[in-house]
Amino acid sequence: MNVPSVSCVLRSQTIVFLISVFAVPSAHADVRTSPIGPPIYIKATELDLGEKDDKWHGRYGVGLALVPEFAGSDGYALDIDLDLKLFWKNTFFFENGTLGVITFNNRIWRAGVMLRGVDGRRRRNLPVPLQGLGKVDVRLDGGAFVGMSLYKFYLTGEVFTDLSGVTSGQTFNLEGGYTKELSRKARLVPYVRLKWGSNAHMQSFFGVTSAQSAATGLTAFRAHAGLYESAIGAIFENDLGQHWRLGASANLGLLSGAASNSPITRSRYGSRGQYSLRVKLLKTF
Amino acid sequence: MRGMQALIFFGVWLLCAHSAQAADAVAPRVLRVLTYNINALPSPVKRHKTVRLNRIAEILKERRAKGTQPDIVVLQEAFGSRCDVIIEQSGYKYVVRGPGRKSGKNGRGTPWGVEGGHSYNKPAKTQKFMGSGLIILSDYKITNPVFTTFGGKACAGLDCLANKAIMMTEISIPGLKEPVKLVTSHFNSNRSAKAPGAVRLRAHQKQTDILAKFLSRTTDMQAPVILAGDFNTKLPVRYQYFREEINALDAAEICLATGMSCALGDQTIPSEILYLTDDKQFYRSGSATLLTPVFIERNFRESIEGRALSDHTGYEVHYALDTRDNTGK
Repeated sequence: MNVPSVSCVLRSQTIVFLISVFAVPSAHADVRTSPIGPPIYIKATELDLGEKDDKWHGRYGVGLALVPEFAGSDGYALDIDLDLKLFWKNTFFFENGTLGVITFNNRIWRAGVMLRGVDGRRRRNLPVPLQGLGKVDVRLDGGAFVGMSLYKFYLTGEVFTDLSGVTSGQTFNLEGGYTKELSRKARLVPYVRLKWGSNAHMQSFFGVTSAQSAATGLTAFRAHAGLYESAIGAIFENDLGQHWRLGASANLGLLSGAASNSPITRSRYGSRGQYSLRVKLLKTF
Repeated sequence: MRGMQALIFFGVWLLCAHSAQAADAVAPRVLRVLTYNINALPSPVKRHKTVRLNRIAEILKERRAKGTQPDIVVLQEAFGSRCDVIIEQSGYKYVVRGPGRKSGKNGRGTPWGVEGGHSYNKPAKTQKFMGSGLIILSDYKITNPVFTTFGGKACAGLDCLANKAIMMTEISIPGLKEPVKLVTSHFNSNRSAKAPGAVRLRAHQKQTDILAKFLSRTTDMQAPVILAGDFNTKLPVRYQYFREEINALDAAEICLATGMSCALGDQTIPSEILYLTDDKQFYRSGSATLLTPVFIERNFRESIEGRALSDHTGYEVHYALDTRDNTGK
């Protein structure tokens, strides 16, 4: 009489046994044999190694600059060359007299607006016979830039307009270059630069009014807008330590158009060739 | 009668549970780890890769059918969606992709940054056009994957265009008390980076420093660790610095030193696993898990229409797994 009931108990225990076997979780469910279904993607998270960018970065330095005494000059002046750059969050910057904001920034393109103070022409830098040309005051330019970079190549365009009314002119600069790593510490950036000026800008620096003509003996000249300087140059830098750098740059410019034809440039005190040389010691932070 | 049934039920359940636990406690005897730079550069750089990637996936699939597939595969230069075929066809259950091109902090600065001249109109960071190209595939459960990118300055030349990184994940292997930590990376290449030798060496050393820091943060001497990847250490000066900074054993050195207890694959010669290789595996045993390389092979040597599957071959190491309890150590 009890046999059927024992059998029944065993059958039910067999079912319970099977349920138990499959219910107990096993790590072998993860083992390599024939995984079924799509792969499980697991997202990796970034490990912070504690290296953070400072909000501020920049450089400062001092050096010497050999530059033309005035636009179109054949003579050169040796000046103290101060250098200061401050960047905040890669957005706001002050760089050697230029104050600006980067308004667009992606992998390739960069654009922004800026204000800059620009030296004009100092009377004391003019040779005595040309001092009748007079000075051109320091002016305040407002402008914008667009820069594009690809790997070590760059191309930038800058347009400025005089906001201070000194020249009331506009200028446009186009520069392209390539960074060549010479060694572990040294880099060279050869570049090509073109400069364009509006009528007002050109007249301020290369024109000769009748009054100036009377004062200097130069022929009166009306300077028109156009490409006025083409230059090649190179920037060289050598690391002196983690934060110290020795920098040098050379710029070989050739005046063209109205700048080249100007009586100022063609005078015995002028030259189409406009060269500059700078050497400085920089500290980055 | 009900009490009797409950007793029998409890006894059987206890037996089953114990059996399951006993099964869990048996770790696999060998862990097979493959590192493979599949050279899947973006299309304009390398074309006609799809056929070769398909074949790589097929080989892994064929090995799975035979039950000889690597338990863990780490891939380098796995750029683009064409590489998905390997993930989808090879049958691995767990996948971790390395950081993409936008991932990571990637701090300010470029290796070729020049301070002179205007800098506001030039990018502050190295441009990244590709991700890290890293993929980890595993049959065992993957947990806590983390990565760090090398950033803008710890790179040289064309390598800077990829967001190269180090990735670490814990691999939970049944029967082992602690997970195995698997680390992979793809270090700066040498000549193909197209940068001066000294610049390339500096970048490689910086990357080694970052790896050492990464390891100190993610591992300790208790956990077993395997480093498998394209560390680009073929250059002796790179290998020497790497070994000095990274506290791990070279699987090939140990394998060749142990002689009979470690075998090489049929076509594998010592030089191509030892120093004349950029692909390497290093390891460190844990306090409770002993890793011992018992087999090393350079594989994936076949070619399609005269073209090799990749400009690298696979580098596969089989590690014998012993718990310290079992070995009495």
